[in-house]
Amino acid sequence: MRIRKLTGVAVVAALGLIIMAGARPEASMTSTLTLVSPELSSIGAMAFGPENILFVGDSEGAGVYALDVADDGHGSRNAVSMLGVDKKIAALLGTTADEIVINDLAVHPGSHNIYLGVTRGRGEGSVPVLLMVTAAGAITEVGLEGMSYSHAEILNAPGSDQTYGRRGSARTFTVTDIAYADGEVLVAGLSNEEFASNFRRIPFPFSDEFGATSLEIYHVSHGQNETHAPIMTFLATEVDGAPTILAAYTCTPLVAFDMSGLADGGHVFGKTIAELGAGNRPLDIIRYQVGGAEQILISNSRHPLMKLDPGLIPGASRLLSPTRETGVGFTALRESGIRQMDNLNADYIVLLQDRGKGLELRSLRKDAL
Amino acid sequence: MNRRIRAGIVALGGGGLVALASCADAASRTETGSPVITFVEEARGEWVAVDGLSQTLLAGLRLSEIDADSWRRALGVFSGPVPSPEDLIPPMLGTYEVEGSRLVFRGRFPFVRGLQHWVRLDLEVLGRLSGRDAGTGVVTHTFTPAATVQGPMTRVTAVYPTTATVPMNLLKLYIHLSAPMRFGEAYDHIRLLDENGDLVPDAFLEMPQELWDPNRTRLTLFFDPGRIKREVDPNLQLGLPLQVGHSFRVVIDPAWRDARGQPLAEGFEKALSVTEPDRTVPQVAKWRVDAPSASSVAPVRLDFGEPMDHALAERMLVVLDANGDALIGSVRVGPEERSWSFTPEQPWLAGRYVIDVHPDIEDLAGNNLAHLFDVARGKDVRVETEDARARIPFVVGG
Repeated sequence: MRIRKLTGVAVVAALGLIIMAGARPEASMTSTLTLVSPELSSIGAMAFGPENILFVGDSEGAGVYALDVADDGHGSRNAVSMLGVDKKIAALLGTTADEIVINDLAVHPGSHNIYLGVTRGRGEGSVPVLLMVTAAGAITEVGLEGMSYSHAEILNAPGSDQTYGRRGSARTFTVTDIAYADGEVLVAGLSNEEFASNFRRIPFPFSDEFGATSLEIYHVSHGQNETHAPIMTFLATEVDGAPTILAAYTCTPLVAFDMSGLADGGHVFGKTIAELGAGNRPLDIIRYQVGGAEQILISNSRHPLMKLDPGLIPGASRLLSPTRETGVGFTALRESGIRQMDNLNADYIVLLQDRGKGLELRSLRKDAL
Repeated sequence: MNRRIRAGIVALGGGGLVALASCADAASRTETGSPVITFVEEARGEWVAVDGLSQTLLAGLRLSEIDADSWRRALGVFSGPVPSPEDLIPPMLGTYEVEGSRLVFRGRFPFVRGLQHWVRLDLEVLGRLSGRDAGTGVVTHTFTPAATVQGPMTRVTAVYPTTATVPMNLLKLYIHLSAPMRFGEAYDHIRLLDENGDLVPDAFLEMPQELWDPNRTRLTLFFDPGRIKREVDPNLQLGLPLQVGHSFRVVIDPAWRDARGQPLAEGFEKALSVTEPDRTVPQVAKWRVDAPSASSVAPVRLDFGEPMDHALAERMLVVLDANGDALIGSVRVGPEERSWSFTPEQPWLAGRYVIDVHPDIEDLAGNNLAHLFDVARGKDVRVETEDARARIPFVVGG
């Protein structure tokens, strides 16, 4: 996910070209955020997009918010090391660490401030809160009051007709990951009712005219078409010059989808390029450039941090037969307990990690990975 | 309610914001006499008040522009027990105002009931902010907002599907509860046991976000799709969680806490008797419709011939009149989710109607009208959803 945070200049430049080819004046996106003071039902997956607009998935409200966080900072940022992040956040929000859920982390591409989507409380009166960790190490609330925003629904009405509506209020869409790429907000997740339709594309800037469309993506895994597995995390990137979604499923395959043929309908077939291991949930995928080489990192719930070379993806053979082969080779790095991950700046990645001493915010040098 | 708690005044040696409890016991009197900290709960809100500050000090505070961080250094309100000095715990967010003769702090969020809070007033810092001499010393106070009154205990009201006989590739369960539940504990309290009472590990898809409805009274629990889908890695390594010809129990233990933090009134068990997997799309052509008579408000009934997904059966069917307009009325899903009925608000008029079935309706195995949940090798899964939409006609006789 988080294509705009890539340090790979070539990738960003290529995307810029795509955006320009789509005749979207780049400077005008923030001006389309015409509503004020968003009221989020929940705060889920987050990603920064063009003009540093923050996209936030609201699972309970089954919608996406585009927020102008008005953070115009530009600067470099050094290493981060903060122990007991959950305790600090809990104190700030007037509760205890076990009542805090940190749903996602996203780094502002300009200021390198670390944004955290947090839920205060697990019971009655729980509320979403947007926080920011500054370069100086201060945690502050990013107030939503007065903030400019726009909003799009993820779930369309079931069918073009009316429904009896009674169940409508029970329906949610849990956003597992979100990214902006090529004029669209891409949303992966899972409805709490239908198992189908778990990847959505929403044209951005949002408009009433063009809402969310479901993208049917099939990955050939061990000789069969998988249609309905929920994507847990994905990276919108480029492989061999083609816009590509690299998606990791709860059912463990890592799948590459070439998006260049998308214009003619909503079906995309991907190829499974790796199996990340059973009983594992992939959490985040990031890509960056270090020392002239591209790298992709995948964090996992049970397995350690994995590194793979995106240059190997085009040549990877499809995993077609039911074997234990793992496809594209990846290296397991000696980092585990990672909950959230993102690019911090050109030199570092940032992790929200539990190494047995409570939750810590920690950076790692890219050239040391 | 107007409950005021007198502050215990403890004069402490000064200390920085972060060295909260560097409690040298050196008592130091202050120029202001005895500032008193109270926690006030009233119908119109709750706040922390500091009384007993001098008028000159208060006037200085009114005139000064003071940012939030400075305020919090002067008057910090902390949640939880008194932190140790090395914790570097920040005070909670809130607003500060001088109101009459008192300094008032209002929390950004409601104070957590039953949780101890701790207030630290640093007079020297307050003096600096005010531009007046406030003396030195630190005044502290602890308070615990009263826990709220508890209502009736929460219980599991239903688990869908209600049928005991389920296909081996059963995709999901809905657990309905009588009151909102606490977030983040569900998977610790719901287990699948085999007929020997042994735990079936990793049976369910555990989403860290948990799949609740917005009220948090209905949890959707998916069996791990990786284990149900044929020939994918988890399926090969672990096998299907449910086995044909065997019995299982979904056991919900009573320690699961509701949104008020109270455990359930009692546990809940759901028996599952497992039959052959269902690998066919719902056969709408075989659904039997039972039409009502004109002028009545009797329901139109639909027999699915198999149990369907409860939530989707409630939502995915619409009755349209001859003009294509949806009728207003109420929907009921029948016993074991094998049938559906619609009762109109207005009496039926004689004529032709259709029941419009959205293709996303699913059977218990997640097969919908457009897709099989699990597609065998070589089959084309691309079915246009418009083609899959079904319309079931019926006639209301005069």
